[in-house]
Amino acid sequence: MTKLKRTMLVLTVIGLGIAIYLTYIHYAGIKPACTAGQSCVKVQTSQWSKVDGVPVALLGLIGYLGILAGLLAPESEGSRLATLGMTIIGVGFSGYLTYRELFSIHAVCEWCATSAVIMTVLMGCSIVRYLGGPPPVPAAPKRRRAMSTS
Amino acid sequence: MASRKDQKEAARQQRLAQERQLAESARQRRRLQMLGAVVLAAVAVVVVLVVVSSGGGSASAPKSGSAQAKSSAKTVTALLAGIPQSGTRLGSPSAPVTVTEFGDLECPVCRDLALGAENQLISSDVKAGKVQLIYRSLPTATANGPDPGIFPTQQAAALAAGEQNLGWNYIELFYHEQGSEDTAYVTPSYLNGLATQIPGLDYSQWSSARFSPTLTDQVSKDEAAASAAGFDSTPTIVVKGPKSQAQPIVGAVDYGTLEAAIKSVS
Repeated sequence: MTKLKRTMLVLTVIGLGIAIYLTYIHYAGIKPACTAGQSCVKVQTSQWSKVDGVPVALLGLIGYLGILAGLLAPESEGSRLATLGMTIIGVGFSGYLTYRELFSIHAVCEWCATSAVIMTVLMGCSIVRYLGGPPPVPAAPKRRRAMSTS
Repeated sequence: MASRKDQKEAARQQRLAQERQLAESARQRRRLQMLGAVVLAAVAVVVVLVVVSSGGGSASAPKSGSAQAKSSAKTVTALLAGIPQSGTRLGSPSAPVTVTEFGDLECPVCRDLALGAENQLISSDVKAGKVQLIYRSLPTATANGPDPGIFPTQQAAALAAGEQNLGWNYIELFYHEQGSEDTAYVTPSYLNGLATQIPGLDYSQWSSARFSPTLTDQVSKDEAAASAAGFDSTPTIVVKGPKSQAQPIVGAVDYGTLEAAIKSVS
């Protein structure tokens, strides 16, 4: 396993932990631990904390699970591309939520901000991993034919 | 001088290197194209999420007399029919369990609770006389919104309806017709419009009562009580029964969570 992939796995597990915690507190009806006063509660109880009734924390959890699955899947261009696609969606939606935090809710949730940073780093790593990935392994029969003609 | 065989080998190596280079650049081109396609697809997904997310609250509240307002009024009237009310208490005063909600009428999560688990609680436990529901004021969404100063006025409007034992009709209608928290939709005409939708409410009596200092004092007392209890978010739900008081519940929890808390204190 490459250093890049190991870094991505660690970041994904941290992001997943945050998403699990925020989803748990949402459904358990308890307040999130927050060092910035009421900021986390303001964000968690705003109208942007849900998408059509689904908590964004749960969407984040699903997203991180998808990224984790992409990283643990057998190495291929397809799995690298899928992981990249999920991180781009994650960064796009995190960006929108951060905009709402800054300009509509006027409070920043530290859990959400951490997740947004993790997702952004994951997207950067995913781009490097996809573009710098090894070429696809040629199919075995073709390789044999190529060897016999040289 | 290189032999003919060596020359052929060198040419072959050159050709292979060129082929490798061409293959590599073709692969990179294809990867960039795929990356572009994935970015476009991801942007489309994000746009859908943003559009759906923005639809959480109406940009403006429905106008009094509109089909949506009529439908809300009908739903609320049917929900509360036959349940005794007094001030901000809904249900029998002798009900063994008291569920107190600290809420902000502009808070979207309070709306989610009201339209979800709380409605279920009203139609089953409150109606059956097992639970009495009490509403108290705590500014959250309004305090962070474009017009924080409207909070005492909007909450007192519900308390004024409570003086005619129709406070919960006002609270429920407000939640049903709630606008987006980042717009200043709570205006005198919005508050008056809600009052006109409540069957049996004496409008002129409500209209003069809603500016009573007693009601705004009540709002301030609720805020002080919430602050003393350490509550800083809405909805915060306090469930108290003959046995004990449950840990405060925060957020738009499901009916099962409320039921479990009620059971634990009964």
